[in-house]
Amino acid sequence: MLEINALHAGYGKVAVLDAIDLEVNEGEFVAILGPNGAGKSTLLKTIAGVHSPQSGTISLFGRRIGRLGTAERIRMGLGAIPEARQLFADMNVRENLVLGAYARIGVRIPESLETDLDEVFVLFPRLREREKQSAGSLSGGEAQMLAIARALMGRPRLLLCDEPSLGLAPMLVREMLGALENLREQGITILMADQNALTVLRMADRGYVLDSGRIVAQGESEALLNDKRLRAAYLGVGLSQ
Amino acid sequence: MTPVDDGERPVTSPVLQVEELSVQFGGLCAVDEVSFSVEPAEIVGLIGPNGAGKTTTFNCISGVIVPTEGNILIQGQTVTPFTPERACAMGVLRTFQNVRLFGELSLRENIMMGAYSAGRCSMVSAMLRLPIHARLEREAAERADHWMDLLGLMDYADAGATSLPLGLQRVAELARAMAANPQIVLLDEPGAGLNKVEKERLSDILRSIAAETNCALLVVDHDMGLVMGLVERLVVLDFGKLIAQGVPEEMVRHPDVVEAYLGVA
Amino acid sequence: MDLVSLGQIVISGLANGALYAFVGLGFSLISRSTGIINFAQGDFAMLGAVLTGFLVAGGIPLILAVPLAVLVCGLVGGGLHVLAIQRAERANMAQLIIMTIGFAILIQGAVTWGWGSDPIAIPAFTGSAPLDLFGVTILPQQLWLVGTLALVTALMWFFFQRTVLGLALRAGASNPLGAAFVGINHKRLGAYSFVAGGLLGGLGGAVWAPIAFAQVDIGIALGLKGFTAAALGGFGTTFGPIAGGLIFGLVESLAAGLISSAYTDAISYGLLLVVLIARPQGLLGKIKRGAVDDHREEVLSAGLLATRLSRQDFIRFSVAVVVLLLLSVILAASWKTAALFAGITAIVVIGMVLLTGFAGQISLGQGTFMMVGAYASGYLTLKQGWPPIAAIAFGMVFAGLLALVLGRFIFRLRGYYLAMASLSLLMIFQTLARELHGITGGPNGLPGIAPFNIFGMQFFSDDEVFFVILVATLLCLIAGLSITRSRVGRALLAMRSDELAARACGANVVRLKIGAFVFAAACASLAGSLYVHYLGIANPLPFSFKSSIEHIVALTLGGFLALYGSYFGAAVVVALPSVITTVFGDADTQAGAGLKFLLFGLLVIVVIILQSNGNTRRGSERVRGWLRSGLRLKTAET
Repeated sequence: MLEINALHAGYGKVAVLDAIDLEVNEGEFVAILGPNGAGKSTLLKTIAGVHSPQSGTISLFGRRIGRLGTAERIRMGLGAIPEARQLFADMNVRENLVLGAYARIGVRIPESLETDLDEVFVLFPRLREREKQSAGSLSGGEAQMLAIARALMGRPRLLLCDEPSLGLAPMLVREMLGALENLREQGITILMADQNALTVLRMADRGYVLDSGRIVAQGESEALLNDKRLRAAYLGVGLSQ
Repeated sequence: MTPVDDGERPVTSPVLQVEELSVQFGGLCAVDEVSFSVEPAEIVGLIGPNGAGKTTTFNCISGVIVPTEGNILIQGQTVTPFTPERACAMGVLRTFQNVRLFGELSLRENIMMGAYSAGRCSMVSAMLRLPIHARLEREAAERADHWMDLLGLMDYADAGATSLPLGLQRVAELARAMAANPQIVLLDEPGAGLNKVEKERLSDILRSIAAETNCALLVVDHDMGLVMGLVERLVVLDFGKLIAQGVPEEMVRHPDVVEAYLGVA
Repeated sequence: MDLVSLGQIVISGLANGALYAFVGLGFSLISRSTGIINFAQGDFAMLGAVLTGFLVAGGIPLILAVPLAVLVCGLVGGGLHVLAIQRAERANMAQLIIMTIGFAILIQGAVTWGWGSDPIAIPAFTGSAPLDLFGVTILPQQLWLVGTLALVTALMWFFFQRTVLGLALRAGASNPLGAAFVGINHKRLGAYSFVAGGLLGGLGGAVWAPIAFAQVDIGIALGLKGFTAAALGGFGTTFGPIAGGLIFGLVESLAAGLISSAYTDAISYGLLLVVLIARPQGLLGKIKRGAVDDHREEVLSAGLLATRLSRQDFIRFSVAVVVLLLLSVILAASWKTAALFAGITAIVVIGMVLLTGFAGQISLGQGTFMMVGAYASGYLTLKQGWPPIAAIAFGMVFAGLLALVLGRFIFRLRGYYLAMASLSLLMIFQTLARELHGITGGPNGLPGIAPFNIFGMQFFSDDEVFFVILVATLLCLIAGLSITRSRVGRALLAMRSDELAARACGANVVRLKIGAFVFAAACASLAGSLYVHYLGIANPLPFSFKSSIEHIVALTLGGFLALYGSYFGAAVVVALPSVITTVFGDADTQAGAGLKFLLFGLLVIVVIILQSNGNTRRGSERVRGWLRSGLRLKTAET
């Protein structure tokens, strides 16, 4: 479904991604782990088309998308929840959701959009209550739901999630992960970057560990969880021994 | 500027005191009544998971944002309004998470810029090349040479600062801060983007600086690996609140800290 | 004053205010979605008015001419974004704003070249018989203007609240990164907002034109007043500019009717200045709080600029001296006059290199400080019998103090407030110079100013004056070099590449910016003094906004960081009219003047595009080299 080969990216002369190879198959839940500054966000931004790569190829659903814009990619079935959510704070919940469908609806709001909105509101009833409130006034948990819901409005088949647990209390993190689990059961493929390694690996099928822009380990979740060296170096678990 | 003179403080007062600091962004409490202090020559780690309020606390101490409530005392003194340039004047220097050297200046000039706060020299005295200008420039050059020499940057002195590899840029940023003869240096995620070898080298440098210059270091990071081996004391934040502080060995066994870091398993 | 006259004043104020609101809406729309202050906004309105007049004169019925003219304005707006702004992707905000000044010059030049600068009368939409309302006469066209504004306001509300494109524009302004993630293409949005800006301006201009006359000269004033409308009401708000426009129109009209028509400009621009100083976010706007000022501008590297006087500096300086001295020997008389003016302009530009290049602030009113110098020299030598050198010194100190006071207020805030503040200050000083007859001699000025003299030496002929200006230019150059190669210059460069990091190093950025502004003001004052000593008369005309345009063009051509480039840029600006004369015939005609501005505008745009792409230095040097060889040919011919 998603295939990345020898991807290099950076900002100016600073290289952030160094020869990344990565693959996500239909229906999988894949985690990207690694410390801050490892390049996780840049990788997801590059896949979403928000950041341009320096070299390498990205294929989505078997088609090379290196030169396509974000809107094109969304129309192909890619959705993204950016790091720190990036909501439109001074616009209301409904407007945020409508913009989630921006790439596929063109200039006029189609009739069918109401049904799409209803579907999303069924998934996140709390957002319906807040429909006319500005996104900036939402609590952390609600804002994260809005971010997920906004991405869903683009009708994605592959969903990129960048640190969705950022700034959420543990209880809300579980709720949010539950929502993602739900989406996955509906057949949405998920590629998620997170530092909260343990929780995420318990849900994911496979994982990649990124450090200083390189993939230093990859494999089934079980295997990664049991790798002592990785646990100590990257998964933040070593300290409790 | 209104320095509050507090004559009763002993000479060995903490170099930095954070008193009941609170910051609110539009109803959201990013930092909630956090208090801690840092002694001279001490290396303290300010840690916590992402979104715990570390960066906000850090920005308050470096004068970038104004706290909603609470005080920040530098050597027992407080200054309002507390801006980045005043923080610098009081001996609080900082580095940046995504290194921010001056791209248009050479490495030496960057570090000389660190000594900018050594004395005031108006544009007129600079234009007329009055003796004060020459004296300050000589001083800046000496400090730059001293720190470049000490931190092994001499070979790159005339290179464009941002053309260097990230590891060297971090060291250069540290040199720029040290050139101001600071009382305390705040380090924002000094390990981000560095590989293992570079991290170890940086730790060594930081330890020797604290030992030899009497300058305190406050390291903000969530990379436990780097922080554990470096600091003498840890201050742990979670959801804007201070949940624990103490020596690293105790902190890793502290149940609240373990939970904050690992989530509820 | 009776109620009827007051009503009359209010009506005409509201009608003018409606036009300002149109222009202000365009300003706020473009600045909200792209962050750019589009200085060509007033010229869109002017273009709309002139095009309508041109089409009607060509026999096209009014009902077709208006939409056609408005459409063309929209296309011009979009075209400028696609062809110019999108080509300069790596340009910083200051450069983009200067680029829009280039657009303004380009449009004015093209209109003057194509249709001249004479006023064009346009028939009213529905007859010109005035309506009578309790004795107050209202022109039907005024109703048209206010009605159109009401309609456009409603449409804009609908557009921003209910259409996807409107939502997308708001989203882009609210969170650019978030907008990118939902697939909103910022380039396309920028182009749309420029199209919308063109349409808005064009419509306002076309509907307003029958009330007065369509004329190229209204572009600058409309731009300023439209900006005032947006600044008064608040840039970030949708409807603030409308309120701001109407308020501004009323104030202007009341000031003219109740106080004095001569001081209208001074009062209305004084209002803008007060707003900029006291409430920069506008009457309806809010300042965003709580956000960390983590803003870092993408700075075009100028390469490594050593901040220490090097041997290269001495060599370059000596070469400059030799070249200028040689020029004084070989230049023919007519070219020597040009070289004199170039030297005077170069002095102003040297100051602007520090202000704009190093401190990143745009001033559009260096003419103000030139006037300070000009009138200080004129008044003090003529009326008080001061020696010229003392009068010059007084002017420089006074100009510096003025800059100091203005800078203290303006530089507290990030952004490009100085551009507008300096421009309104210029407008106020222009009015004062025309009206304070006792000191300035009014529009006729102060004639009979003696040539410059010092230690009993008179500098009378062009050759002698050239020498004086040469010395003055070199002194300014030395001062500029001395500052930029000092620790203050290093701090300025540091501030330019990263303001927060510079502050964290203890640099007081407000003081640095003020310092650069004071230096620029003192240079401009010196230039103004030299100018009047050469011409023998001090009057307001040579220091109008047109001179600001020439300064900006010279600065851009010479290079924002290049002190030596100042003289080169100034030379091109001064020589271009003569070149046009040589190639196209008489430059004194309207067409010649139009062509001059057209070329100025193009030069600014092209040079900024070249500077922002790839290797900065190579880009501008290629142009410089090309221009230089062109100049050399022209010089050889004469």
